[in-house]
Formats: sequence, structure tokens, C-alpha cells
Amino acid sequence: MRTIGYIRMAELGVALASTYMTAVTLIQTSIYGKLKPKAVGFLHPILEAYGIDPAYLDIIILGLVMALSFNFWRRGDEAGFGRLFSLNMLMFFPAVIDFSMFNWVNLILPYDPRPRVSVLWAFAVGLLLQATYLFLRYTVRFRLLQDELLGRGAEQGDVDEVSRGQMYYLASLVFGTAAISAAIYYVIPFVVGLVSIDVSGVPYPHIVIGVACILLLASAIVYYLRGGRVEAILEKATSVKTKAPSKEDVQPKI
Amino acid sequence: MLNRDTQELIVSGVTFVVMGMFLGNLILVVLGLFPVVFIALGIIIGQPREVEMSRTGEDQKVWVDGQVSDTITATIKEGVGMVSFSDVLPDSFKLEEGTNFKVLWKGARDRKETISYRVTCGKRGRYELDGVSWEARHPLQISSNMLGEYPSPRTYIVQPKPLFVKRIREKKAMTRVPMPMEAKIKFGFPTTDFLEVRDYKPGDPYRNINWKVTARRLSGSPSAYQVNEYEKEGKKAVWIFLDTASHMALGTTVRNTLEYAVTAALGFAEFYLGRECQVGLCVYDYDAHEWEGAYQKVEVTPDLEAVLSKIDQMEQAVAPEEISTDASETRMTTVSKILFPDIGRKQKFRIMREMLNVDIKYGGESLREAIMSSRRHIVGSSPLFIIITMIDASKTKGLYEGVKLLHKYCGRIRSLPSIIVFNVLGYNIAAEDEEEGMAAEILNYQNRRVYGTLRGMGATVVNWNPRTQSFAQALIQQRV
Repeated sequence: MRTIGYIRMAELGVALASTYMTAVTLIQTSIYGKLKPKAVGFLHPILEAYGIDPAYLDIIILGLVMALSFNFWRRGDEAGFGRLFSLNMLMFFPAVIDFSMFNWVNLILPYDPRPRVSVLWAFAVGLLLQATYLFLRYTVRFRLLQDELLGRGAEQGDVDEVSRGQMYYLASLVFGTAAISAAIYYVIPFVVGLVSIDVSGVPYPHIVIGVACILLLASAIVYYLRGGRVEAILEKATSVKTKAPSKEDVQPKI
Repeated sequence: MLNRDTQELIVSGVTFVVMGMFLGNLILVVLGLFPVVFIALGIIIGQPREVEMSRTGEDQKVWVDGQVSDTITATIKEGVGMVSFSDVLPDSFKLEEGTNFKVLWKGARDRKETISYRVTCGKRGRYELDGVSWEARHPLQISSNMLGEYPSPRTYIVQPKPLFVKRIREKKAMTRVPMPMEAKIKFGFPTTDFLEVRDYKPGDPYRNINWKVTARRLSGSPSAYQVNEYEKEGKKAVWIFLDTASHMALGTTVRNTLEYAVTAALGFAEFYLGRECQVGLCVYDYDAHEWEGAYQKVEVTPDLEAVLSKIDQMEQAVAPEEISTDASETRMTTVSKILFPDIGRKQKFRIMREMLNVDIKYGGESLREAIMSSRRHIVGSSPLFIIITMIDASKTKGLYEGVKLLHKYCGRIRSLPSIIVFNVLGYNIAAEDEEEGMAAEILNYQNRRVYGTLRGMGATVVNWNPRTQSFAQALIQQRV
């Protein structure tokens, strides 16, 4: 099998795994538990007409989203994977609400979050979602790059080697990022414990400080990346070729 | 460095963090950091930055359709990512073996890769390859691609093959290719113009022996003595006029009318130089007769101070009536492409060197202007004129004018002026299948009245279809 086959298989595995995990998480959230009886009541006549026991609603939903996920994978383009990410996020969001400090849902309807999954589970599924998003986003480009290189006359073996290297690099980077994120998640409570006394004295709401920090962080990244571009342009403008060929070098030795 | 892809990731990360803060959710805040950390790691492990190249081949001089080969070694250090490098070859080179483009993956370790190739040089010319270009890409394209060119100059000189006409082998065939009027004998009174050093032959005067050269070549030459050869008096001149107008581009890049015209010009030069004639070459552009006129500068060189004083001003609009539309009024000065008549191997080398540069629109003068430019060397020598062109029934004015002008300067062979119009059948060259071949024949048929007119003017018209005839066959079958 060519490398593109392996890439597609990896895409399928990641897409189905993330959808399955988010669907399973959705089924165990409080919002789902609250809405399920209403949904069963609404769908009961239809399900009975097809001879399906309403108790299987969870499995039906699971099967449905897995089929959707497979369909998005089958399309294989960036738009399809974008929709897959949206679907996964939609299913993941009830779990996020379950573990939020501010119960915004309670303002609309009476809601007491009692999730059946742990906070670590939800965090792990969130990491899987982000990893899936980045993984699928770049594998599409790897496939496009393969076509580009073959169009430019590269040999199939070389292109496969490049794709293998890219996949290995992407996997390493995603795992590394997930590990760092997990470490941050574990460290934050300790940091909060250390700075909470000092921060509590600040006369601004936490949301203002947080938004300011985030904007500062984003600006710093953008500034850094733009600075790199300017640096690259300046470097190119002032660069001297490694060895300027002399006139004798250019003259044919005939 | 900041591309759309990176921006999207940053925005998505910030969105997650803001949402996390809005909901008071640590999971979302940390997930928002995920793309940021991802980009940061990607930037830290950047693409390869140090690429070095080396060549192991050498500059070469080959004939058309000859082959050259080269080997390139790339050494890549630092970073991780895809690297591609290529030796950009001229369009007319055909890759026969190996590759001149390589894509590779640079992992954590330094990498060295070698490529080699063999190409066929399909078209004459001097080709200078500046260097090997390379491109290093980030594995995820987070940062901009790095492009570079490593200087490793290489020169290939591809010489056109002259079409040798040595001896006609058919018994009854008798070529009527005219010889110049004054070329009666191979030996005449030697002048003081040095020609070359050659081996001694019985009958050579002893005073012509070059003792210094003889002493130097004693071990290398089969002949004991070397004698100086001097040019003889009474050389007959042959002028070759080569057309480089745009219609000569008919055909493919490698096999077009001009390429065959060049080989024919070299064939004529070889033929007549081998018969002790002086051969001159003049490259012209048939189309130039359309804008013939007095040479003069069309623009006056501006004063630098005046130019700088107006640097911030908007250019004033030029009224349409001020723009001259008559092309014949003024014309940019063009440089004549003329090699004055000379003999021997030196002249052959000069013509060959000039032919390396000849391309479409190479000559800037019309046929008439070219004749006028070289008339001082023509007058009094009664030369033979050979005009190599592609006759087109729709464009005859310039050719007729040129032939008429040549009448003034040429002698007459068997009561006919010594002018050969060598017509390279470009439509036949461009024809790729049977139908196109038939169309070419129809177009050639339309030219018949032009041939008749030219013959009426006393010129010899020789038609040459390089696809079906050799150069020698074309000369044998010519009708006067």
C-alpha cells in the first residue's frame, strides 16, 4: 500500500475514535439526561413504527454520528473535516457546561449538573478533539503536497518518504503538545493556590484580567511571527551568496 | 512567516480561552493553549536552514544532439522538513537518464544526497547554468518556505552541425551549385597575409619552412618540417545572408526553420571555405523592411539634474496628436550583424561562434539595409550571394528589393547573376501528420509564382525540405 493509503487509514481511525469518544461523553452528560426523556417521547411513535425499542436511542445516536463521521472522512477535504470538528464540538459542549464554574444554563431553565463522567475524562476527550482537529487539518495538506510533488516530476519513492517523515513529525508534535497541555492542566491548580491571595486583592473582575492577558498573549505571538518575517526579508536583502563565481569560473574550460 | 494557517490556529486558541473564561471552565482554557503550544513547538523545530551543493561535472562543448552529464551533491544540515533541489536545464535539453530534480526528507540527522543526470542537447547555443536552486519547507508549512540558489556555474556550448557536402556519388548527378566567378585556381600569388602552419609537402619552397615550429613539433608530427602558408591572391568572395525574421520560428523549439537555416548556412560556409573562397556572413531580419527609414535617436538622453528635479512630479499626459504613428519616420539604431569575408579555419570558427548566438530577430536590419551596410566589402569583388530564407507568398517585397539591389554588385555565371535563394520549406518542417503535410504542399504551391518571379530576376531558387531531403540532394535537384 502506498503512503497515501496509510494516511487515509490513520485519518479514518482518528476521525472515528474522536467521534465515538465525544458521543459516549455526550450520552453521559446532565443535559443529555435531561433532554433524553423528551426526545424519547417525541420519537416514540416513529421508532415503534420501525419496530425499534426506544431504549436503544443512545445506540442509534452513536451509530448516526459515526456514520456522519465516516461520510466526512470519505469526502476527505478540508471542509469535510471542518464539519467533523464542528459535530464533535457540538457533542462535547454539554460536558464542558457540566464542568463550568458559572451555570449559565440555570438562568434559562432549572439545571443541576450531575455528569456521569469525571473531569479528567472530559479533559482527555477535549485533548483528543484538538489533536484530531490538527491532525486532520495537516494530513489533507500532506496529500495535496504529494500531488504537487508528483506533478513537479518527483519520484514516487521520494514522495512517500517525505509523507512518512511528515506524518511522524505531526504525530510527535501532537503528542508533545498534548503532554505539555496535560502538564499545564495539572500544574494550574497549584499555581492558583500560590497566587490566589495576591490576585484576590486586584480591584478588577477576573474576566477583564483574563481577556487582557489573552489579548496580550495573542499579540505577542503575532508580533513574534511578523518579526520573523521582517527578519527573513532583511536577511534575504543583505545576504551574500556563499561564493561568488569569478569570471574564470564562468568561462568554459574548453 | 505569519500565514493564514497560523492566524487561524491562533484565533481558534484565543476563542477557546475566552470561552473558557466566560464559562469559568479550566478545560477550555487549557484546550485553547493547545494550538498555541503546537505552533510554538513547530517554530522551535523549524525547517532546514543550511543547504550546500556541489557539482562534479565539467563545462563541455558538444554538437547538437550530443549528450552531457552532471552530478550534484546536496548536504543539508539543521532543522527538520522537506527539501527539494533542482538543476534548472534549458528547455531544449532532453533528460535521458537520471533526474535533475530531487525531493527528500531531512530528519533529525544531517543528510547528504546525490543526483546525476544525462541530457541530450537538442538546440545550438551557449547555455550557462547559474546555480542549483533549492527549497526548504517546514513540515507543516507553519513558516514561509525558504528558497535559495547555490552558485555553481556550468557552461555548455552546443554547436550546430554543419551539413557537409564533400562529393556527389551518383554517376549522372551533376550539381549546378555555382562557384564564384574568380575562383579559378587553388594556388595563386601568395600575399603576406599569414594563413596557417601546415606539414611540408614536396614542392614547397624551403624559405617557407618555419624552423621554430618544426623544432617544437619534431616528436609529435609525422612530417619533419612545418611550413608557413600565406593567403593567395584572387580569392572569390561568397556572401551568405541569413534571415532571422519571426516566420523562421515555424516548427518546434528544437526543430524549426531557423535551426535548419543555420545548419544550411554552416554547410555553405564549410563548402566554400573548403574551396579556398572568402566567405562573409550577414544576419538580417526580413520583417525589418517594414520600418526601414533613417537611423536616428528617438529619445534625447535627459540631463540628470533635470530628471532629479522632477522626481516628485507627476508625469504630464501626452496628447494623442503628439504621438507619432508613422513607424518609417524614426527608428532605433540597430547593430549590423556582419562578418566580413575571410578565409580559412579562423573564419569557420568565427561563423560557428556567431551561429551559436543566432536567434529569431537576431538581425536588426532588413535585407536591403544589410546589403547597404556591407556594400563597401562587396563592391568590386563580384561575389556569389546566397540568401537563406523561407519564401512566403504574402511577404515578398523585401526579398525582391534585396535581389534587385544585389544585381548591382554581382557578376554573371552563364549569363545569370550569381544569386542563390535557398528556400527552407518551413511549412513542411512544421507539419506533424499527413494532413498537415498536404496543407504544407498547398502553401508551397502558392509560392510557385514567387519562385518564377525570382528566377525571372535571374536568381537561382533552391528549395529544401529537411524532412525528406539531405542538404546535398537539395543542391543537386535545384533548377536554374
